[in-house]
Amino acid sequence: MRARGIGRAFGALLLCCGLLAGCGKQPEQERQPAGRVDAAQHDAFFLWAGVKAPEVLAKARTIYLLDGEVRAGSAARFVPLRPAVPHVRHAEIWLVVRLERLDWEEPVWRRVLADLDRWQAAGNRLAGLQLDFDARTRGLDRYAAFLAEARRRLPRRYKLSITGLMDWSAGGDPAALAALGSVVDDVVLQTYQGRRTVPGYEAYLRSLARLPFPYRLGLVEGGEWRAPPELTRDPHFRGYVVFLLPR
Amino acid sequence: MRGKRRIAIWAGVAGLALLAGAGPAGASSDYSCDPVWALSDSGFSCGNRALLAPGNDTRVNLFLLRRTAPVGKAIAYAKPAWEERGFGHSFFGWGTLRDTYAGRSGTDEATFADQPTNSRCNSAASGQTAFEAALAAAKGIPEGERTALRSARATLAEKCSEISDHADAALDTAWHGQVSSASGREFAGYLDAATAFYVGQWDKARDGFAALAGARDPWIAEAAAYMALRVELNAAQAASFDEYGDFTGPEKVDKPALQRARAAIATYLKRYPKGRYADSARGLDRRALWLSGDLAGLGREYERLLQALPPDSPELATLIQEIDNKLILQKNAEAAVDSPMLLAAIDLMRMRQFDGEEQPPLSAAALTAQKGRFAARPDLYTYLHAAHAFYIAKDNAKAAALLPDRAQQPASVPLAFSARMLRGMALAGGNGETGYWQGLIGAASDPYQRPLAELALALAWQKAGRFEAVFDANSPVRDDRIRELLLMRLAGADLLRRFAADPGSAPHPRQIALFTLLHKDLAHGHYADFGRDRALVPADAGTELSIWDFGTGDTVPVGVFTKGKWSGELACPALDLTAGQLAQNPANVRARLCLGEFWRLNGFDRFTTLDPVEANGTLASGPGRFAGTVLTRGAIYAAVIADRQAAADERSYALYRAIRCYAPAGISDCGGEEVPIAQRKAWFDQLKREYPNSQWARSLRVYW
Repeated sequence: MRARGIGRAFGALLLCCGLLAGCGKQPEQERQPAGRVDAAQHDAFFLWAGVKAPEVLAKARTIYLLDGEVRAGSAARFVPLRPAVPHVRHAEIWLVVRLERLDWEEPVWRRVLADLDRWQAAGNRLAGLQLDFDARTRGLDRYAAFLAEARRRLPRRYKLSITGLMDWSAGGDPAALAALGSVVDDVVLQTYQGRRTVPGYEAYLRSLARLPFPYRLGLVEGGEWRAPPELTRDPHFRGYVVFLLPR
Repeated sequence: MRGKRRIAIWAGVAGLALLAGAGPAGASSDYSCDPVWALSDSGFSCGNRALLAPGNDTRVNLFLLRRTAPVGKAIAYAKPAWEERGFGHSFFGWGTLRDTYAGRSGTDEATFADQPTNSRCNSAASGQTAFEAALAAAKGIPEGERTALRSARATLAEKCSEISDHADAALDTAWHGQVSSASGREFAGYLDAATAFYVGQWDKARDGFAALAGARDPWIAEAAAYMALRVELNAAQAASFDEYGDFTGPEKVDKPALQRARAAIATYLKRYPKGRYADSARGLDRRALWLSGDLAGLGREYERLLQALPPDSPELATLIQEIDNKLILQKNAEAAVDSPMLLAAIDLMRMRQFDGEEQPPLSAAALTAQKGRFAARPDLYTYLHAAHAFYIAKDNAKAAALLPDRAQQPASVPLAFSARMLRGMALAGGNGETGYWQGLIGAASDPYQRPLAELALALAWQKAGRFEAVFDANSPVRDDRIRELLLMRLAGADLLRRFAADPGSAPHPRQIALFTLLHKDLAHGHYADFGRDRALVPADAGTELSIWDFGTGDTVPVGVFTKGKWSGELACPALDLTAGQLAQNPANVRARLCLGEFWRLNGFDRFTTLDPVEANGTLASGPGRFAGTVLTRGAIYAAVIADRQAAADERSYALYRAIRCYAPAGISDCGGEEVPIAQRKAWFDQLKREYPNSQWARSLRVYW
């Protein structure tokens, strides 16, 4: 049973980078969309499987592309969701794996590492691997151990990114968060659930300012968004990534 | 609330009417997912019901549509997936339904991968075993040649590239020099053609496999015939992927190559109807239909297969998964399909409604226009009309009038059960409602049916203000989870105590009742009762409270009330002594602070699972019957702060704790109304001003 309350209802947020220096570029000049997230105003995107690429992607600088997932039902199987190897020339791409469990077996690791190599061999500018896991606040210590394992296995040429949950900032054990932050290069904190921005996101954003890590914010296309004024003053804010919805 | 985050995305997008839980996507940051505990919900949420309904996973509806006879024997429920632990048996996930009927097939994950995937490399590694076995069985090949062939085959997985840019890749063929026997050369020819295939050189692969059609080695001959069809299929789809690796649709598919692929499939199946690759070839023929955009042809083939496969077989479940991926969720499937079963599954899906969804649901006119296609299934057509009246038109009288009041078939046939459920839902609120559901409970025998009818009865009793009837000795409502939800949120102390003390109660709900009783004894100020009720806690009870998934594990941590932590920064006696002091004097400041310590130290902060929720028609919503007002940590501290008679160490501690309630995010963990930051600052200043030398003032440097 899921507990109620804003704390849980929240999707995402927090975290980052031990490697502060390498953690991101300077904040891009972001025009502030008026109330709604307009993909045309942004240059970094999530492209999920089955979402037909919109034209706006042509001018993207960064694209997070879902490759496949590791589902709760099997720790030994990687479920591929992208029909073919991409060959993107105009933007940097991240290979995204969505995961529902952390106890990956060898074939999953092998497959993910092989996919990274295939994507790179296809001529993509591949930044690295992004892990998209809805980690519970309570499981952050296990997550940190998993990320350390991912970092250990990942060849040095690839960076490691994670998506984050907003309530980590509110409920996460500082030590566990610090451990997480010490192994990743990029963090995207999600502000949405489904097709909507989480109601009351402003309250969570306030708690974000206390986080000493660089981060990007994930917005959902068409979702409500009014950037709080203090956000632009947050030296750790690295810009937005827009989750594209199917047409 | 819709399931998890991506579920929503998925439902719309990827074509998998996949449910959460397993589900992608969800509302919270854990992977559990709550069904809407009512008989219907408007959209597509977590948890399917045993009646044909818009809110079900399309695969579940298809499975129910296919079943035209009751099971006729008792079958055990499969263990629900982890994220379905709170479902009871009134709700279920697709995978659990499949496992219950067909046994664990373990094929679900694989069938996710059957999209039009440019995946030829997958067999580059797995084909090694078959190749080596054939090589070992072949006669007349010298050992040195075998070794050379085996090693050459072993490099294929590495050479394989799914991008056609590599068509001119330079390949190492030095090993050729080591193979000269006639049989060995057949294997070498096969390897050359396979290599060409794996690097995307279609012409060379096509010629190479064609040349092996008359091979003397039986495996080579068969594998070459099979590979010939894969060559054509891969050639056909090669240009249909965009730069992001997505399939762009049948328009970009090479039609002549697709024709050749279908011809090659027919050739292979004619020659090897029971061949080692026959199943794969048949599946690839459906892939070819799909690639050609021939949804009507695909629909006819699926209809045929649906009828041909046994209703409870894992093969049928796998097929349903494929139908879902390839047909049901395609944009123009509704226009193309003429199979009543498939069309009904599509129609039900199109009756879903989400808040803020632009796409209008299926219209009555569209349904009427389908009449001819349902000519063979008037029963199903009538049901769809009734469903449309109920879910879309909200015309309950019309829905009820369309549904028979007497079953034509055994009630456990899914369509008959659905009709009786829907009729009861349409008639809800009328006289005899509880009697109607009791009748259906007695008639429903297939898995998940009875618990759904039990939910209907429990809801009817709840609405009538007598949910306690669920717990009567002769109550037909037996589903543990239904009972637990009522115990947790609605039950009063007497019912909880009676249920918790009764050795005849089912073990898990009994623990739930005891935990709820003890928690509410304390929170509602029934301190003397707590002292007595505590005796019901078993000696071996666990103490680890997890508030996010409370009650869904195998055991319930009732031991927290006897063996939990009770003393941390503030020196406190054991919980039973604290409760005893409060029973003597509920205003005892120290004892109240110590009760707060118990909640704080054992993880009760933000624990709301047992709190009543606003009445909204779902099970266990509405005001609870547990008497007394609720005390929170926040209220304890506020009262002690306001109490000028309180001892200095107690009052300073209350200030310290009240401020800390808001760490680290400015959101209170302590329950009750939140206070503005100015109030927190005032507490902080007060602590520093009035108790500057207290350890609490000294240890607090900031407020939140």
